[in-house]
Amino acid sequence: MKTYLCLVCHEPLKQPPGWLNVFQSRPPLLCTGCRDLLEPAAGERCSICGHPDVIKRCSDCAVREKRNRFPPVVHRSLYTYNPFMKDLISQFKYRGDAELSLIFADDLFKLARREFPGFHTAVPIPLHPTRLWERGFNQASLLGQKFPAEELLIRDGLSTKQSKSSGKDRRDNAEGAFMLKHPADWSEKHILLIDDIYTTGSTIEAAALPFWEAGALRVSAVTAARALKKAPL
Amino acid sequence: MEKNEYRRKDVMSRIQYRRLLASEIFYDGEEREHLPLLEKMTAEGLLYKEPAIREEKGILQCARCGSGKPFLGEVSNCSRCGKKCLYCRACLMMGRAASCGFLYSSAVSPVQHPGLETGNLGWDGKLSAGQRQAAEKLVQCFRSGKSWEFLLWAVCGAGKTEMLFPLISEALKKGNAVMLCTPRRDVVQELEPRLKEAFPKAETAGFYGGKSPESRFCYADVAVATTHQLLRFYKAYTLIIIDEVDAFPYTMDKKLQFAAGQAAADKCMTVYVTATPSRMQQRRAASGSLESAVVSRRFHGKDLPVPRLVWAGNWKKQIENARLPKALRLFLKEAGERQVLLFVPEVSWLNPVQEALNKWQGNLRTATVHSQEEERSERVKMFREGSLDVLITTTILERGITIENVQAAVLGAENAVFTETALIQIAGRAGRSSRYPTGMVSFFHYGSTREMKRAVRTIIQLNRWNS
Repeated sequence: MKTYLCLVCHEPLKQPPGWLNVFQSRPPLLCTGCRDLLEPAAGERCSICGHPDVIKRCSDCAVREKRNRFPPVVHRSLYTYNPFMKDLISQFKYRGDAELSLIFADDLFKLARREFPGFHTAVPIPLHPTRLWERGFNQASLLGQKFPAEELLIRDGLSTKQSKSSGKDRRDNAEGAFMLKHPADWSEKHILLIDDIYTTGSTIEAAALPFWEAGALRVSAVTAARALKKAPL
Repeated sequence: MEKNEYRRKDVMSRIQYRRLLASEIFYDGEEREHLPLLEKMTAEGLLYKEPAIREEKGILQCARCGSGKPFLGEVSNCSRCGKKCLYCRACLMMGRAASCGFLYSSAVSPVQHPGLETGNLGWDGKLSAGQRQAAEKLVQCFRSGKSWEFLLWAVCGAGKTEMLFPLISEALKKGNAVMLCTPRRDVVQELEPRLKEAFPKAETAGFYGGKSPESRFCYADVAVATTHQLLRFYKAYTLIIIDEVDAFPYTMDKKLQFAAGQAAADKCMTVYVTATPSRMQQRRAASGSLESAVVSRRFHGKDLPVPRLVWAGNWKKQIENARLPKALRLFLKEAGERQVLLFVPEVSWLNPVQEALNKWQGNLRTATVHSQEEERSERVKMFREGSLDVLITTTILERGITIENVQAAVLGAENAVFTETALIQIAGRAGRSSRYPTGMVSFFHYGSTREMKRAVRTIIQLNRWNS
């Protein structure tokens, strides 16, 4: 019998013998040990940004709602950004281990269909061309590989890496950084954005802007990982 | 222009003895801007370049680490080449080797060589008769240039590193840089300063994961590297010493062979140093197809401690009830003031055993270590300094650790992780210094295994050999 390796720890998968294994065409990608380290971002959460352990609405979203011209972007994540997830994302993005996107691709599509049924198009958050060359791939596009995704946005200006800046910097950095590739009328349409990680939401907000301005009805977002706020909510 | 000249020099100094990706050569970023420079240098005949993923006899493999199919990942639409692009997942931590990328190596001889004085020994210790014999054979072999593989079989505590000094010195004096390879980072960190001390005039460096980029690509007369780091070196060494060959797990072993083959110059002597050679190696040495030297005495001349096999009953159940097996309690009592290294088969047993120990004697200072433990080196250091009585560990500490007057015990020696080699290594922890040349070693088991019996038999045989 062929042995399969866990995508993360590279240990052989131990599968209990059973008929399911005989008929299952594809073995699981992760061993149970690694699978258990993923923490689903489920349960009670902010109705807008999806932050776990919040009743109705988190303070950030309340502030944002007052400040912004457009309605908030409703967002959902697959998993919380715990230390394991942190390693996984950095392996995926910075080391360039594209294969790891398979862990999330299917589940992300399921999440989107469940949470945002009837979205019209899915748009991965683009990278700046320089960053794209360095990395060899766009992590958001890979995460959206199971979607009927369209690359509709371009990123303008080489912002410093979001992960290296914080808070207000992040907003300033990302603001106005996205444009539509081709001007189009998005009125009455529901757009779904795809990204790898949601930290403060500023990237998502900035990427949503061109769509709001083109008359979009709704903009939602799904990501693989959700960073948790340190401060009490 | 001047800046460009400087950059060329930089490239040549980083690439000597090595084969690197563009992203490694320009680790400080701006890889893309500098690609034309590499192209130019290749055209000028200074560099040699080859695809990072190659196809050999229809099989795709990573040119750097030799990994094949299950370890090759795929990007369907690479943003560099715009095509389907493969990359190697096995050596990803050293930079991404992809189909559209290249590995660069130097097409000219290295910029730096060991100087005349680098071979001067700063070590004034004396080799025992057995050590000297082996050392001389090694040097002779290197001089003759006939045998390109050598097995140095030396029991735990025979003073392996010292035995290698004359050989290393010989190579350095001839202007050849030397590579020492060892499986674990801890051992690299322990070995490098010892070599620095022995060869004060030579440039030494340890290469392991997590070092700063500046020191990652520096030159060394004597280099000590982990297997992974060995992959960066290419057609460079006439002397490669592989320490603790048997410590490499089987899959790693294939990788090591590959890496050593890559790092070797066209003519190269490879020395395998081990306390527990595989049956295959033993057979090859006996038949003469593998040149070898055996040192079956410890440097202090005393016998290796022979392990006792002790029935511990259903120890798992007892530990689960926070009770120590009686046999182990007796062992600890006998050890008295002396420190004890206690081996357990799996990480999950570390804490229960520690609890049982503390319940038995509350004043016992204990700690646990395993491979993923972040405080591993601190705890080992505490144990070394004597501020711990019992160190409970997985097989991670089975080798490379030297602590004066330590006693060794294995709980659950019947487990499959305790192979003959592992058990011999564990037994080799005891009685290593000339002040305390003896020690207690016990294997506590719930049913003895062939591996345990073989380990005892081998140790007795080694003791008999030279007496």
